[in-house]
Amino acid sequence: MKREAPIVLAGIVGLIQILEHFFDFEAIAAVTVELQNWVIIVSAFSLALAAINLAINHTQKISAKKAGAFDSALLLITMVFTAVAGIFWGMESSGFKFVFNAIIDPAASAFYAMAAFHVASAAYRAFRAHNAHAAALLITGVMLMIAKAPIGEAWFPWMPTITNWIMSVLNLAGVRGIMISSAIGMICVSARILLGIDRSHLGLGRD
Amino acid sequence: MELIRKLGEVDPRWLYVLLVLVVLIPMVSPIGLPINVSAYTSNAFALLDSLKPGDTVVFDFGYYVDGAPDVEPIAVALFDHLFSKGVRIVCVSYKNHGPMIVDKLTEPHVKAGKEYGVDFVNLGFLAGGETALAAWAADIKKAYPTDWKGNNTSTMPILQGINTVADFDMFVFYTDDSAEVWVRQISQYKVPIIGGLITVTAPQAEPFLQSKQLAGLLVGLRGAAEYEKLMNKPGTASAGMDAQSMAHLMLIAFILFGNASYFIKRSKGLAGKGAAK
Amino acid sequence: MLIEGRVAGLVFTLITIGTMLYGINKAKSKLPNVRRIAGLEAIDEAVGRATEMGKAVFCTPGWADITTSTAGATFAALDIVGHIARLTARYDTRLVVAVSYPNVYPLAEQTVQQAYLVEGKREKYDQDMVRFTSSEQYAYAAAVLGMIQREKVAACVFVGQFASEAVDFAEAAVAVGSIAIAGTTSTYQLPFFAAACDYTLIGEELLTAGAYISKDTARLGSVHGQDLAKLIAFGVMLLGAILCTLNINVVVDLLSK
Repeated sequence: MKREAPIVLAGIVGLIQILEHFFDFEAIAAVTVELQNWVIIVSAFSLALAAINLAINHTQKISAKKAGAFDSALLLITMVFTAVAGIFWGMESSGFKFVFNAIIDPAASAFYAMAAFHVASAAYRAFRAHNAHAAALLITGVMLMIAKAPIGEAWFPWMPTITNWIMSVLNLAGVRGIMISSAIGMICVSARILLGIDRSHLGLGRD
Repeated sequence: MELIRKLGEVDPRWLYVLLVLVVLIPMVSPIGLPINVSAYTSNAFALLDSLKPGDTVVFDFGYYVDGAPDVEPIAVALFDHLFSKGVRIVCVSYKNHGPMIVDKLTEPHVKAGKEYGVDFVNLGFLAGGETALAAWAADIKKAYPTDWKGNNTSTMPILQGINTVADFDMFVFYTDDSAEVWVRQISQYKVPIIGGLITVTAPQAEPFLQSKQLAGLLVGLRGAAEYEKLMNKPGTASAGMDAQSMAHLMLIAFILFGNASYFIKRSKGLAGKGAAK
Repeated sequence: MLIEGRVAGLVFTLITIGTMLYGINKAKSKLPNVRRIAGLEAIDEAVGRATEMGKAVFCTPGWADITTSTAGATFAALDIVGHIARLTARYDTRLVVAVSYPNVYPLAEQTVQQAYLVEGKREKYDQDMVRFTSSEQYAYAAAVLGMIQREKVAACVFVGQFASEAVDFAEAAVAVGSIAIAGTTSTYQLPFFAAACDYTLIGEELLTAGAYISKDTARLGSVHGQDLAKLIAFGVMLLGAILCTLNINVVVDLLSK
C-alpha cells in the first residue's frame, strides 16, 4: 500500500489535469484550481526542505572552516535578509527593492553577459572544419553571424536572403523534427509515470 | 604561418579581454551602422501601429532580469510607441521579476503624465506558471482581485468592460523562454499575439508564426533596434547594434584563425582528424 | 464538452498512449532493438575515468520544475542521475548533484539514496551529495559553476531542461578538464551543448534514457510505441504537405480543430 498510494494518487491527479486541459467542465475546473493551490502548498514545503538542506550544507562548511566558508556565510546572511525583507516588510518595501535592484538585477545581468564570453570561447575552440558536417556547421554559423550584424548586411547585402532561407527552411525542419519527437517522448514519459509503469522517480521499479 | 598557428591557440582569457574592448569601444563612440528592418519587425510594427487610441493591450512580462539586456529594449520601445498612440496597457507578469520590471519601465511615463489605473496598470505576478496564465486569461478580475499595489481591480477604469483575454485588442508577451506557453493558453481566445523574444529562442517560435498562432515576432536586441528605426526614435538598442557587429566580426576572425591553425597543424601531422574539441 | 482547438491534441495524445501500450504489450514477447546512444554509453566511461583519477562526478537534472510541461525531461534526467549514483556507489566515487527547483530536490535525494541502498552502500550515502541551489536561474548557474571549479570534477553530466546557462556549464567543464556529457529537449540550447560538450543527447534521446539504461521490458516497449506514434505523425505531416501543395486544406483544418 505504501508503494501503491503515491502512484494511484499521481494517476488520479494527472488525469484530472489532462481532462481540464481538453474539456470544458466546470466541476473539473474547480477541482483543478483546488489541486493547483495544493501544488503551491506542497511547493512551499519542498522549498522549506530545500532551504534547510542549503542551510545545513553551508553551516557545516562554515563550522569546518572549509575553503569558501566566507562565501557560505555571505549566502546565509543574504538568504535570511531577503526572506525577512520579503515576508515581514513586503515586496514593495525599500529593503526588498534594494535586494532586487542593487544585487539581483546587476548580478543576474552580468551573469547573462558572461554567456557571450563562453559562446565566444566555445565557438573558437569547437568550430573546426575537421569533417564535412563540422564544415557545414562552421559555414552556416559564420554566414548567420555576418547576416545578423548590421555591418555584415552592409558588406554583403545578399547574405540575409540566404540566411533567412537557412533559418526558415533547413533550421525550421530540424527544429520541428526535434520538437515533435520530444513532444511524443514527453507524452510517453508522462503517461508511463501516471500509469505507474515508470516508478524510478519514487526510488521504485529498479532491481 | 607561425603567427596564424599561434592565433589559433590563444588562451580564451585573452579572447574575453578583447571581446570587452570590442563591445565597449562602439558603445562609447558609436559608429552608426545602418540597420535594415526585417519582415518580422515590420509586420509586428504594422500590427501594433494599427491600434487606435483607447484600445487596450496586455503586456505579459515573462522574463527574469538576467534576460533583460536582450528582450527589455523591445518592451521599452513598445511602451514608447503605444503610449504615444494613446493605447492603454495592462501589465501582468508570468515570472516573479515582472512587477519590479514593470515599475521600472513605466516610471518615465508616469513622470510624463501617464495615469496609473487609467492609462496602465501593474497587476503583478501570479504564482502557478502556465496554470496561473490560463486562470487569469479566463477570468482576469477573479484571478487578480487586486493589483500589485493592492488596489481593487473591479473598480479600476482601465479594466472596465474587460473580463477575459478575448476582450483585449492585442496580447504582447516578452520572454527569455519558449513561446509555446502563450500559444497553448492564449491562442484559443483569438486575440492577436505578438511575442518579444530573446534571440536564441526565435527559431523555436517560428513554426507558430507560420501556423498563424502568433501574429508577430520581435526578436532580441536587433528586433528592438529595428523597431526603434521604424519609430524614428533611436534608443539603447540601436546603440547596441554597433557593438554587436564588432563582436561578431571579432569572433568570425578568431574562428577563421582557429581553422587556419588547425589545417596548418594537420598538414604537419600535429592534429588528428577528430581533434576538434 | 471539448475545448475548441484542442480536439486534435486530444486525439493525438490518445493515439500516442495507445501505441505506447501496444509497444509495451509487444515487448513482453519480443524485446525491441534500441540503437546505440553514444552519450549514454559514455556515462559509464566518464564515471570510470573519474574513479581512476580519484575525482568527483558532477551532475544536475537541469533548471526546470516538475510542475511544468517540461516535467518529462526532468524525470528522464532523474533516471540518469539514479544510474550515475549507482555507478558512483559501486566504484566508491564521490558524487555531487546540484538541484535547482525545490520540488525536484526530494526526488533527486530519494533517487540517489535509493541507488546507494540498491548497491549495498547505504553508509556511503552523504547528505552533502544532493545539494539544493536555487530556482533563480543565475543563482543556480553560479552555484553549479562554483561546484565544478571547487570540486575539480572529472566528469560532468548536464541533463534535463536548460536555458542560457547551458554554455556556461559546458565551458566550466572544459576549463577544469572534465569530460562533459549533456542532454536536453530544449532546441535552442542544443547547439551550445553540441558545440561545447563531448557527448550530447538530442531531444528524445534524453527521454529514452531511462529505458536504455534500465533495459526494462515495459520501458523499452514504450520506446517502440513512441516510434510508432512518430511514424503516424510523419504520415500525417506528409499527407498534409501533399494536400496543401494541391491546395486542399483538409488536414490543416482537422489539426486546428
